[in-house]
Amino acid sequence: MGTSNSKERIIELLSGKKKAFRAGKFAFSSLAILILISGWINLRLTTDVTMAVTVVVSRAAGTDELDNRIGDLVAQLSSSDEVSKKFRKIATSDAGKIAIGNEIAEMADAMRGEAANAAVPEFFEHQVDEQFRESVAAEVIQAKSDIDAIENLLSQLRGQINGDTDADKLFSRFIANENSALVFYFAELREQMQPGGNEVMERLGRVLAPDGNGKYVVRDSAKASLIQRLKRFDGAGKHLKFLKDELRLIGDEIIEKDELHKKLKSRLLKSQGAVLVLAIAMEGDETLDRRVEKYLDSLEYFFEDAPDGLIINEDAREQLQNGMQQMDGLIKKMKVLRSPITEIVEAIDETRSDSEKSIKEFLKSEVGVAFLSASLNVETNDIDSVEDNIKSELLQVADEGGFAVREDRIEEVSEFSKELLSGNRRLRRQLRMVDNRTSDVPTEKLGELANSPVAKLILIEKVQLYLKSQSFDAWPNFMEDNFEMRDGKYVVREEAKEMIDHLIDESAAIQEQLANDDF
Amino acid sequence: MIFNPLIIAAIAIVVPLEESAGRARAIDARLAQQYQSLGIEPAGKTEDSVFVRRLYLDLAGRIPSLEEANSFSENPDRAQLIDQLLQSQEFSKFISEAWTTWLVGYTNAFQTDRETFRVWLEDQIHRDVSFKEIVNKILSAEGSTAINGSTNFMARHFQDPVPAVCRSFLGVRIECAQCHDHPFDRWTQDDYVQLKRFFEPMDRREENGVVTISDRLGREAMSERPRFLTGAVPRTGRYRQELALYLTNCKPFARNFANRSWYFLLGQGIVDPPDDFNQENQAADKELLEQIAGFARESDFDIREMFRTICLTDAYQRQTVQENSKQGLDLFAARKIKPLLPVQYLDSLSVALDRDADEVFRRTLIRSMVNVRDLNEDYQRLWDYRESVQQLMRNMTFQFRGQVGKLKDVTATDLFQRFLNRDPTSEEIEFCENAPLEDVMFALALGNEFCFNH
Repeated sequence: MGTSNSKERIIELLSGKKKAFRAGKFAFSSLAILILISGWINLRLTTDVTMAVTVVVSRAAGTDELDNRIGDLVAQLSSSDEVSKKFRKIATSDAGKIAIGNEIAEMADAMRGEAANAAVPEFFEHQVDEQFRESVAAEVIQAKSDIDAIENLLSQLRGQINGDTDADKLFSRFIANENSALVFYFAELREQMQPGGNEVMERLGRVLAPDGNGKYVVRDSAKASLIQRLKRFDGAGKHLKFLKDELRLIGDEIIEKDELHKKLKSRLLKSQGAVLVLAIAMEGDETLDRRVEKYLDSLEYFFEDAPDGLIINEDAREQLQNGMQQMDGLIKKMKVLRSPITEIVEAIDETRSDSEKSIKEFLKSEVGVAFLSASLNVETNDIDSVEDNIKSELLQVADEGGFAVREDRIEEVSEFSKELLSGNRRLRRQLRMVDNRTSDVPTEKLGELANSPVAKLILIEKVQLYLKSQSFDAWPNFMEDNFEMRDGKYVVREEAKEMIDHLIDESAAIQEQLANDDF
Repeated sequence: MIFNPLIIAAIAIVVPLEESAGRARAIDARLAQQYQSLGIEPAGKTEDSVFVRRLYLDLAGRIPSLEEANSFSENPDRAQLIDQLLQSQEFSKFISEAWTTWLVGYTNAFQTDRETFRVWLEDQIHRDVSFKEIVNKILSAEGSTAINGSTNFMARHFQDPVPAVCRSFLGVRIECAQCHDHPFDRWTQDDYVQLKRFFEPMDRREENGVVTISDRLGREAMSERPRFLTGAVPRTGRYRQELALYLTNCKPFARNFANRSWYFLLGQGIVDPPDDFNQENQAADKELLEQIAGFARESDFDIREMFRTICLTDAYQRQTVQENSKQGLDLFAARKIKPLLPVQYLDSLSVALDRDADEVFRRTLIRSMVNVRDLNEDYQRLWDYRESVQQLMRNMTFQFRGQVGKLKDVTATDLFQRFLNRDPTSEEIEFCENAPLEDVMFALALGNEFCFNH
């Protein structure tokens, strides 16, 4: 096994996978792996950087914004020279605006080409600093540790598959491969072990949307319900204090009779207990007042008075244990999700409106993080249970010792193993391509980080994210190239006359076609 | 000389009213000419109590409250009420809801953000943006569906925008030409293919439930570029922007706007159904259509002006008659009845029962209703009676259970006035005498008189 920390994370995060293995959904899971692998390889590795930029550049200013800019330019345009007058005429006609927009789009296209060529060196030039290095290093260390844990799990099975069917042989071949843990991790488990913004946005995406400039804003369609919902959370601070006080008083009285009593007492005495209770109480349509009141009322059922204090009502023991498990799960989720949640919350543009301000404020609070974590359907899995399931649901103990693929799972395991074997081969090729691609990158700033395959794959992810966050606006270049300011007014530059003539021709050609207006 | 701002404001309102009234008279004169030559006796103008209900439903999307109905009966100035409602925020909101249903349907199919589209439309209408400009923006929209509402039309119809664009903005069904030349019309398969090519540089990207629509620059040689139905070919690489320009400047676009507006208010198009202009389905009165399309162009596709003009006509203000009971119905000699849209029904119930339906309640109810069954259909013909919509709509009534009990000192007669803007007949009074008020409420809310706009 790897470090205890990483094992614990895997255990936390793999536990949700249980169902997939148990409910005969292995085929789905393996298909998902295949899709993820191919998607990952295509998206993260083989995709030319140019392609990533192309997608991003398309966030150019919309028609409305272009019209406004042209309008502003016209308002400040000089009327002292003939060329500027000509431009004004073009800029105030619909056909002319299209021609101007085309000119700017052409410039954006050129910027796109340049950006694609310069993207990787530029990323390393401008984005890689000490803080970045440290953050990637931490991520790489965590990933390596997680991969080690997976490797450990797979190594327990290596050489132990003794069945003689094709499925047994294929499965043996897959787990024998040196990259099998890597494939598992990047294709299937990374998003669960280190969930990122995508997982958080799956839930928050109903409320927030990226504005194209690296910020998040509240969707217009979600504003009314958001305001109503946040209104229901009014007074959360007051409730939290009340809950903390009440739970502490109850906790003080609990007798530490057994492990459950001890655990419960400890949980109630910590302020986190109140945070979790409040976050869970926030779900549902009732007012927070009512929900908190109900929760506190229900406590009477869970305890009974003993001569020395409070003890757990034996009839409620199971229910209480379930509740504790729910809380444990939530604590783990919060731990895993805190970082991506914080990243997104920090990017909410609170200057846009009160809605953004309110949601940002709420999600920055501990209760907000707990509430969001509770509502996120992030799959968690337990590596021990995965191991159990592999050993009992897919495999069975072979007569000669070791394991063999279960007869009723031969087909599934065959397919799954073939897919992962193919994934392994692709991975090998992709790692080679990454080496080629990063060979001329100024990696000295990264030190030893640049050496391991895991680090390289994570770095490519970072480059892609960087490219996605970029947008290209050619308007400033259009202005710079073609206009100059004289006496507080814009005048067409001498060297731009040719471009103006071109625009006149284009808009005239468009205008001419409007003459035929019926069919 | 000192200008009184109040006088200037009054002149500003009176001038369009004068223009609209003139246009309305011209429309009525044209129809009168037709009736005379065909020997048709048109129905008379509807009484005030019916008119006020009709107008509120058409322009505000709800029935009038008791106070509003009483206020109108005290000063039954129809032109003034038309203008008052057109200037209200309720007008922008209701029209945006109805047009959203027309253009993207009831659901968020294909990852569209229906409400963001509606909010965007409401803002455009509220700011008096012309229909031409709105369509121009819709056709050339770029960006995220969650941020730029106008992109949702393209996101909804991304797979093949041609049928929706042609039906919505030209009133033409060209989809039959997808596989072969249109059997009953002039459209060839090549027309269809050429039109579709305007959208080829368009991209759709989805991330975290948000769709982004964008364009690459078209780079084909001039001889290989797409071609609009007028023969226009894009000069620049911005194909969609040029298509929007060519489309919104052509006469069929103006005819479609005229016909759509007429259909929306009268429940029946001059070309009917409104999304099917073709050689076999000619206008009921071609000259009338050209006349109104001309008004649309003259007023630069001003939405309020178009609605004001139509509402001022005798044709709009006529009494309803039973279907097929009168000659000249296809020439608007009587007013057709229209089923209510879900949003009209909900807001009318709220008015009748004094329930302040907040936005979240409205949306949740409408969404839960329309998502119950598969309503990913086409709603080009907004006033078609559809069992799927109407039946579900009536289910909303049960959300108002118990609301009657909250009304102070209410009687059965009050409920008739609240729901139907009229007093009950003696027979109705007798019928309701011993009935619980809750039952009377349900009977009124579920009855055809309430569920239709007469």
